[in-house]
Amino acid sequence: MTSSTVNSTHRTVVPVGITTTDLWRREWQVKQQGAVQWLYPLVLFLVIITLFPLAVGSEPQLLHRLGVPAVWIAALLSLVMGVDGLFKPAMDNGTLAQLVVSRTSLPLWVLIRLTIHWIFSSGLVALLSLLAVPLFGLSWGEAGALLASILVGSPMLLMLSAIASSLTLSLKNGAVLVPLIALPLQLPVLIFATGAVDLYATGLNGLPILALLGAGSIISVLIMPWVIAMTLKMAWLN
Amino acid sequence: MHSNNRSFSESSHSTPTVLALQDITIQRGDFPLCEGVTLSLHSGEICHLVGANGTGKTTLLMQLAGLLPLLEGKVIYQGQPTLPIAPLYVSHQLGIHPSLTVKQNLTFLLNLYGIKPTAQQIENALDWVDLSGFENMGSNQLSAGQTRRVTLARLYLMRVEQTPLWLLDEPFTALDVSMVARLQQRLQDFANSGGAVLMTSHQPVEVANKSLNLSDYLPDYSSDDFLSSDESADYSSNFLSEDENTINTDNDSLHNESLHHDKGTW
Repeated sequence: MTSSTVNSTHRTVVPVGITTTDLWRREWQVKQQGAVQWLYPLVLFLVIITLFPLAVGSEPQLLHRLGVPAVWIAALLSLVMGVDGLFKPAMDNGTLAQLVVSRTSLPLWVLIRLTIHWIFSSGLVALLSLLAVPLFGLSWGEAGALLASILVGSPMLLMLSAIASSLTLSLKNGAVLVPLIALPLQLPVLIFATGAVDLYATGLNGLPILALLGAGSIISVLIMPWVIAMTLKMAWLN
Repeated sequence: MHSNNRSFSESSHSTPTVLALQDITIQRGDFPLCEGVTLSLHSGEICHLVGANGTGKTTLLMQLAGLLPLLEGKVIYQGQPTLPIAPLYVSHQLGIHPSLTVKQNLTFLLNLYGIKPTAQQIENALDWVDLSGFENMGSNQLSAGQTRRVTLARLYLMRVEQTPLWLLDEPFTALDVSMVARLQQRLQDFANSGGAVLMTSHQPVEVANKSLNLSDYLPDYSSDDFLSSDESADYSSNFLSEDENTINTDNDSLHNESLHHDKGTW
């Protein structure tokens, strides 16, 4: 070692860190490569809403009545099933460790990861919910209200699923527990969302309920990434 | 406690202290693995962390990397009581996503430290680890050794300006002889440029100019119930070269500023 080449005074190095754009690019690449994982919940959603008309048979009034709750239950189940791979792979392959060591903002990473996951899960489920028009005989107006309710309520659903997923990260069979933890917390969203669409269908104003759901989603998005980041850091302690 | 025989060898104090540890307790959960660990790591030093299995080498690196809480002791990093520090950390947790390409993974690992590598830099780094031409190959098609080389390739592009401290946990695992030699040369170059390295290895580290033996810091009960002190001493002595000078860590000069870490760190 040549001591003469070394600066004799303290040279504090503050790491620049990764940019939001680079984080977004990385998560987008991961999502694109793992198409099977995000396609599976969508196929599950399609299967459930297709089976309903087949099982109920040719009773248009009953189908119409079941349409909104059936689509919402299918959406809820597919969204909960899809969160299994939210954080576990990043924990297992060391990505999470590298993020922590490099002092990357974990809440920002969580927010980006969940946003991309939301686009590929809830966003697509919302679009597919328009199939309720041919399958359940919903009017386009009702289908539009259903789509809006999924878009507005799903961020809160995702955040609740994500917190359950992060809490069970260090458990061996944690994925089994995620629906058990998340679903009871998500029931109010289901009740409010289907209630809003029902109000619209009966000619009443469902907007206040949608606004309430929207407020819940906004609060979830603002708070939950920090909570999830804390639980992710705790995963190493076990 | 074994304060009378706690020791590490060191080369020089003429360079600034990058990392100073004082009375660190290495612990997993509630179980203390080592107590009173003290170290002063200066620019230009490559410190070989030795000790028997279970003495907490990996745990210490994880604590310093910010992955595990540091419940007792003081840490000074670059003259400041700062935690978490942001060193380069290479461990068994490679940070390689299997479904992404080699280039995508290496770019991300460098992005974490603010480096935006050019295609040529990526090519050079991969050439350095004998993975030339593997840029667009899926990481899931690589062998364990090759996957490890991808994460090590960033050492080729990392400079002291990005982070002055490298924490390397068994960096030579699954590497062939020529790669180990190249890696040792890279460690030497990094140290010469003003960086500091704290590393574990079960192989001799020829470029190391300092060592810290964690077997000297075992709690008393461990020597009876958990680990034979004779065995651990014999084991660790294999890594200490005969010409290394041994000094008492109690004389080690630590920066006055300090940070006491309590349970609220995480």
